Amino acid sequence: MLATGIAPDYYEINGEVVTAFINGTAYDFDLSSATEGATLDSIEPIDGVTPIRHAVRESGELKVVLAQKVGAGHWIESDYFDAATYDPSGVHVIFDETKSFAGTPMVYTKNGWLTLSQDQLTG
Amino acid sequence: MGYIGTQPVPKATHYLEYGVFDTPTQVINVGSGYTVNNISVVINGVTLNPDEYTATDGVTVDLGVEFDAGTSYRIEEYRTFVNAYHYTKEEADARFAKLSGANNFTQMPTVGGTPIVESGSNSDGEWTRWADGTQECRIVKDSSAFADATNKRFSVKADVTYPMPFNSVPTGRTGSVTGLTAFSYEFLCLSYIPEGFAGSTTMYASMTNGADLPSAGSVRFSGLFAGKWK
Repeated sequence: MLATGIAPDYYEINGEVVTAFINGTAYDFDLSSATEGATLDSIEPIDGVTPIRHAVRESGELKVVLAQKVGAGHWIESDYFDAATYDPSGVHVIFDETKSFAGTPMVYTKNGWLTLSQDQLTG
Repeated sequence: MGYIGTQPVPKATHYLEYGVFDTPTQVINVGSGYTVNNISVVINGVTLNPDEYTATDGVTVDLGVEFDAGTSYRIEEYRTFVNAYHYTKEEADARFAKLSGANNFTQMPTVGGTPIVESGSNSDGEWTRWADGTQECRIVKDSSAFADATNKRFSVKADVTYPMPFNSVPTGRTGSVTGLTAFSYEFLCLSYIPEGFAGSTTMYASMTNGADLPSAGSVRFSGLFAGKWK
């Protein structure tokens, strides 16, 4: 999961169908037809938002790079994780508290902007 | 003012309402009210006992009998002293910005709710935005998308997404390209193409090297973009 300033609001994942919610509208992307080794890099932005950054099938496993919207602060993408553990209300990207920044660190989830407290940042 | 011994600490304020009856009067109205069982009533210089008047509504004092015009009266009440609310020097130093010396704010000051400065980084690059609407994005992107090998000229491009969206096409430039040492080149032209307001663009490096298209390798672009976020 990439940490980006421009991303869908959240996703729903059912099997190999990824649904991206952008400005309140759901867009389905059925990736089940991807063959072994095939990559997907060219999904056109919707309202300026690229719904899926990258997808590839390796050894039969479909790997999809999605994005979670973040605000101020330094944020790092996560490693690949099992789609079953994806929580639209959760934080899947990583906050790097070692670098200085200005503003209030925030991350967007299905429930809207989530402001991280100092405890959450260092906890 | 100096004191001998412990300096007294004021605990109450003394409230007075007094005057002379213009007309024969039995009931005195206390303009600012009073606390029941907390007053003294003085008529012509004589303090009345509490059972000599009725003062139960917090507003009036009924003297029981009518007193002649010209009678002097005084209502006294000792009210709770309100301490002045102030900060110690240490508290004030911690609370308020200093006009000189270092200031360490725990939150960014805001203008109309917008922080004066915000900054951060994410998977797409680094960014800084100011309350006046100015935004700067710094992007580094590796690419191996070589193309256009015609007439000994070829190009490489990098599709990038700004780390924070602009609200209009920014100005910018591809600042530098590294990674070309694997093959020589004679001329290098850097450019970028803004693609709408959405927050993405493409950076290009066009080169001539008198040779064929590289079959492998990676080029690192760096770009700097400035524009408005609101």
